[in-house]
Amino acid sequence: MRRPALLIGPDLWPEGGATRRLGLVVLTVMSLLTALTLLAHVGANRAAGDWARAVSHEATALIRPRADESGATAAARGAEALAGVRGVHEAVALERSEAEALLRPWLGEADLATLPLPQLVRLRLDPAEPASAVSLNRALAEAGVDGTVDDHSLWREDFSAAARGVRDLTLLAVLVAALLTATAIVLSARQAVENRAAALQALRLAGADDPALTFLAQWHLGRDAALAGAAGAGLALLAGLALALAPLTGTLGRVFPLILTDLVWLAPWPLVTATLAVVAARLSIRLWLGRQRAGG
Amino acid sequence: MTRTIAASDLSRPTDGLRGEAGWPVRLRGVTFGHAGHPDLLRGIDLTVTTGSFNFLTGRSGAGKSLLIGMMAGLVRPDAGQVVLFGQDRAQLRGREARVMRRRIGLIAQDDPLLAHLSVADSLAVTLRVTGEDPRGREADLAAMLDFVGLSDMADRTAGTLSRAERRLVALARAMMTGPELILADEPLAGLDAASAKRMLGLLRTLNRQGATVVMTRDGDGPGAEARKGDRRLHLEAGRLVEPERTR
Repeated sequence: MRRPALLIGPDLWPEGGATRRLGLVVLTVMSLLTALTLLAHVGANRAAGDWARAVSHEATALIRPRADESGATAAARGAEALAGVRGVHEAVALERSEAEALLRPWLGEADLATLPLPQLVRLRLDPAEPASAVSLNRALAEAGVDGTVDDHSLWREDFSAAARGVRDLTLLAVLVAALLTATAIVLSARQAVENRAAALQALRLAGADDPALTFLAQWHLGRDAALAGAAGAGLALLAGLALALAPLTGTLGRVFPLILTDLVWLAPWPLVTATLAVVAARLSIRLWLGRQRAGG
Repeated sequence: MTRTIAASDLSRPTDGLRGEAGWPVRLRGVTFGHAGHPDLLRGIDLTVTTGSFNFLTGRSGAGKSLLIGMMAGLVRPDAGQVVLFGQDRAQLRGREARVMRRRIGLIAQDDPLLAHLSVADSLAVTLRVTGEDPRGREADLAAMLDFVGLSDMADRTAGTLSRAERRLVALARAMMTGPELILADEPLAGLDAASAKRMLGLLRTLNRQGATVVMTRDGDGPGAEARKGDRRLHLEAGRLVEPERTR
């Protein structure tokens, strides 16, 4: 029976010097990019889901007060009328300060206190059976409240399509990065075998058979790819931790809302790179041996 | 299980088939070519008998190294059959192929050694790659180095050796598994007269102890190196011709 321990000593597989180190760096960077695009996809997927849910589960009603009542009173009547509609979980009249906060991103530093702000009622709808804009408007009319419900359904589909687009684009980025990494692994495996042709020939003449040489190449190239894959995934893990632990500190945190368990997606990556390298090493060494057997 | 060998006990024919069926090498209709030289070998038939000393000659590029490679199982013929010790080489797989390889000692032309290894480690490589643990075989290693006269160089790095020394290490390495058939491709090429005489003397010693030897020699004949009883095989235009035995 073959004894792998006799073969895997570093002395039978020349170290490779600068070429090997450069290959490890390239593979680490490629792994990092692939892992980052994977995290971006997971984050974008969650963000798109959150946005779509928010759009379909929320609505806003704009209330216009009558001449004989205050804005706050009109908003309270509107909220009461809307809360009784089937498919509405909650209807809350917004305070002026909340309305100002909503407008602040659009109007900047303008003096909002002097502006006649609309009275708004925020609605939280039943996710399973949300109330329609028609039934909500009818409820306002029946209660004698002059108001309009913003019909999200008019642009909900466009919004969902945009969310799906973001998700698909990040998935495409993952696939492209993974394909480029796989190509880098295959090319570097082939190069590693060619660079060690003299050593492989020495071992072959010393009695190493095809399975022994194949095992040797698979072991060393697989191990290198696992190391580079782990390094790349490790760096991506650090970036993911920063996003997951401080999600509200920047735009990235809002666009890619990661949570800690998302980082588990990175765990198999070193195994993936190692497996790819083992297959690539097997094919490369078989090609080389084929040439030798053919007298090449 | 390891088999302990000593310098005085090298290359004795051991188990395996005896007689015609178990001759070390039988080539039947072996043909080989490539794009640049489609008729390099044309229907070679050859039987190498047990215990014989064979000179395989031919001009450079005639296909001598190729034929040695086929006998060692390293090169696959386009057509024909290579039978080693009664077994079709093309049919051997896994353990059987490894066992067969251990019965053959190969000294290739300009035999490459792993330059970073010591001489002793270079010998141990043969054991390792054929699945045998070199630990416990230190005495055999020492015996081999003593046999080729390199006992004091065991710790030298292979990359620092002269061509003649490298050739001797290659011979010692080839002997580590106690082979019954020794294939030496141009073992004397590039050696000075004294080194060539020493190398040939070692091959003769192994042959006297029972090993079958096939060695190649560039040119039309073995010249002064041939002795009475040696067999001469000559490759010419893809064919093997056999002049009369050396008298």
